Amino acid sequence: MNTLSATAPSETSPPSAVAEGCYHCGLPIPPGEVLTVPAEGDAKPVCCHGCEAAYYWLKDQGLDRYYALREAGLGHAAKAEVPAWASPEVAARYITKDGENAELVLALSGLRCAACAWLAEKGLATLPAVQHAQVQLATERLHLRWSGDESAVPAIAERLSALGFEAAPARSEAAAELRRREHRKGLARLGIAALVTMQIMMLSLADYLDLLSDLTPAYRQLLLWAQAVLATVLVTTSAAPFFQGAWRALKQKQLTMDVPVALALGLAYGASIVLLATGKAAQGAHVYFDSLVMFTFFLLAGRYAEARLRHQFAESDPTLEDLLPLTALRLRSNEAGEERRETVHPMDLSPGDRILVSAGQTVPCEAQVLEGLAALRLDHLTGEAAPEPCGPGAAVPAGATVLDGVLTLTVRQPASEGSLAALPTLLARARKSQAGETPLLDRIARHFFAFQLLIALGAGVLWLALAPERAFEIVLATLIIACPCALSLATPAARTTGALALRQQGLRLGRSDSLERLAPITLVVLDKTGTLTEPTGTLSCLEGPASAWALAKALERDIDHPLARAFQARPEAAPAVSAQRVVVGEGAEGCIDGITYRLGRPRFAGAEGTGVVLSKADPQSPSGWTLLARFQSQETLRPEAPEALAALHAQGVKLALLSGDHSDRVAAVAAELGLERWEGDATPEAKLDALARLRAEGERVLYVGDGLNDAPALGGAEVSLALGAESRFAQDAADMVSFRRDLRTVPYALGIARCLRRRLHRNLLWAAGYNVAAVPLAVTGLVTPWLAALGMTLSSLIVLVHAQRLARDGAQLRGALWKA
Amino acid sequence: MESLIVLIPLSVLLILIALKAFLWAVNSGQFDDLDREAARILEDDDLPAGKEGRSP
Repeated sequence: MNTLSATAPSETSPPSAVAEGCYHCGLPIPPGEVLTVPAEGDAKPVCCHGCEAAYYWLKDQGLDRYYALREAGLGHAAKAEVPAWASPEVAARYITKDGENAELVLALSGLRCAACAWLAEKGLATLPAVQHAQVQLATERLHLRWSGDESAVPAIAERLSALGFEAAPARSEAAAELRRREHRKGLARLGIAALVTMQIMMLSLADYLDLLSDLTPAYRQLLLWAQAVLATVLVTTSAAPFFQGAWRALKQKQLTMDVPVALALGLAYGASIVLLATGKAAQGAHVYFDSLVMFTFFLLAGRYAEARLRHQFAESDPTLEDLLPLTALRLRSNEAGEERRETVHPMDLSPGDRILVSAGQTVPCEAQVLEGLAALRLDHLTGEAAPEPCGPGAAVPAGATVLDGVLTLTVRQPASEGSLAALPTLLARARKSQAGETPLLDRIARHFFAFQLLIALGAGVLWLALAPERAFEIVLATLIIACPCALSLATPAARTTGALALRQQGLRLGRSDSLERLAPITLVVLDKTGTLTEPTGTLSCLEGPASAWALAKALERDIDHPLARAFQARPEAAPAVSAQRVVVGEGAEGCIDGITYRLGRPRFAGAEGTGVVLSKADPQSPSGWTLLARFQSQETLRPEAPEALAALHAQGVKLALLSGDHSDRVAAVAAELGLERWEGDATPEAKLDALARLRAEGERVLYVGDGLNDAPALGGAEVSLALGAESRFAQDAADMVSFRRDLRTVPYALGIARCLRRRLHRNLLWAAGYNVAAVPLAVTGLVTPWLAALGMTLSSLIVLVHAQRLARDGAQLRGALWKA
Repeated sequence: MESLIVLIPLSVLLILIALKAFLWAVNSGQFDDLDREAARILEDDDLPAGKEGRSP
């Protein structure tokens, strides 16, 4: 810290410094010596050595851009806004009141680590009314309690927004509660099994080491009874689900893994108790408590890992409640005939109300179209992926998503009735996505269980003929050793570790097998806008009158798109617009004072050239449109783009750029990044065609986009990654979502996927090999039951440890990609 | 050796007590969120600053 300079007393320090406060934290500068740091070509005061250290630390990490972002207001603070659900009238529906206090559970997105959780908790705790704020990191829930009522909600929502978190009332709490209970039960069973196993193994040790047979029958009996007590605890608590599962399966005349497991456990326990009770055990007959507990423990460990993974995906999978919007925009006309919009809770809508739903939003209740044209997405209701066009008079079901256009709807049924009707289909969809977990392995496994039982039976019959006293032991050993535990553990263990490694860089998997599909990728197709470049959020008018801004702003009203938001942010007053329509990937259309206008891509608005074109309908013109103005959105190349592309190149995948933007601009970006394959002027359909063509050429394509103009393309590639979570479509359509908006997450995901595939293959090979090799040993009587349990245990352990090494692979990748 | 007659049943009893304690911990939600709780110990909550203290 030799750059430390000024030691001026406070009275002579520049007054501005004191007024400004600390350069790092903004607190007033204390009197006395003033510390300064060299920033922005000047010596800036800091209040203490802590802030000074923080400044140098940020600078050393190359993060001093933080100060620029903060000053420019581009950081989170600028985004501080109160979301629509937080208005007191709407929020009243979401909070629970308890006397003087109110409680609210919020689902937070933007949480990445314990530090984020800390920030959210402490940031809220400084609000005077808040009594309790606690974040659950695993479920991304924030539990809040404050004194007062719904009037405090806007302040809370604003604070969270200012901290950079997106918060919404958590609604699928019933499902979350169910998962929480399942998790607790699983953990309790596993814990009991672990403790009991350790204890029984310790008690068995006396027997294992009793080589000189100097253990008297009385002591032996005592040790065995102690084991019996503990084993009974285990069988009645931890192992209970196996017996229940086997019973259920048998009642339905099916074979599941529970059947051979329950059989092995029941035989081992029953036989041991009989041997003990008849006194044979004390004479030296072998009991099977040790095999029994080890077997149970490792089975439970596998199930626990599997359940954790299932819960993780369930948490990111939207439920019915999540799909329905948090708020609705109701239109009300007053006596003067003026239209007013008000934000209400969907449950407050009554039949006959008029509501406004624009592109990207979901219809909250059963309704009928009053005005407007739009395409609807109904796939989660009907399973039909193709968009459904609708116009005035059409009935719209609750949960339908408006893809383009703005609809004015008449409410036909209150939200609760409509949404209840949709429940069965939504549940079916949820179950379908769960069933997709490991279908092939399940099918193989089902035959395997029958095979396993037959082999055990065969071995039993054989040994009854050869040596009847050994038959029981061999049947038991065969049942245990043939259990495909390691096999069933291999996939969930590897996937969990892979998913967790991705999560550390803000990547979320949309489907559980996304990573396995990512591994064999040969070509990465990148979108330009929003992916390789980022818009600066400002627009410039290249040609046309200043009055064009107001028209453009009117056309973009209520549309949820970064470009539209840039127009909406303009200060001009927008005139009223009717028949507003959005064509995804093209632009918006609307009628102002009886004249139809279009705003969007040049081709869409009947013009040539680049930029965003505003034109009005003109029957005289050959194209049918006259150009009024041309706008251009400013964009810059993402700083990490060259590095990310170099990393992808090093991983041996080909790169291509596919953009809907004008070819000149695409060519410039391609040249800057050294990309040889590029294509501009691609409409969403052209993008789909291009992807289909590339796939026909034998390429396995990963598509990376921001999901705003290219939602169809996300579905058209083998695997897709949406950079940023700006639109709900992207999150639904993409296989992976990068919440961090960092291009380096692409090579990271690819690296993890390849490591996962390698480890998974080795694991499956090992587990299958173990079963194939070990079964003959058990059948020929070379393996005793306790050795079988040990073998099974070890093979499961090896599989788990091997999968765990993915975490280390992930750390190495992170180190390489995010170095300094 | 005779002491084992007392000690072994005692160890079984201790295990049962430990199991009971573990079940209580699980059911009171202490294992619900391990990621967050692991970091809570590192936080400086014992500072008397409180709500009236510094502005955020």
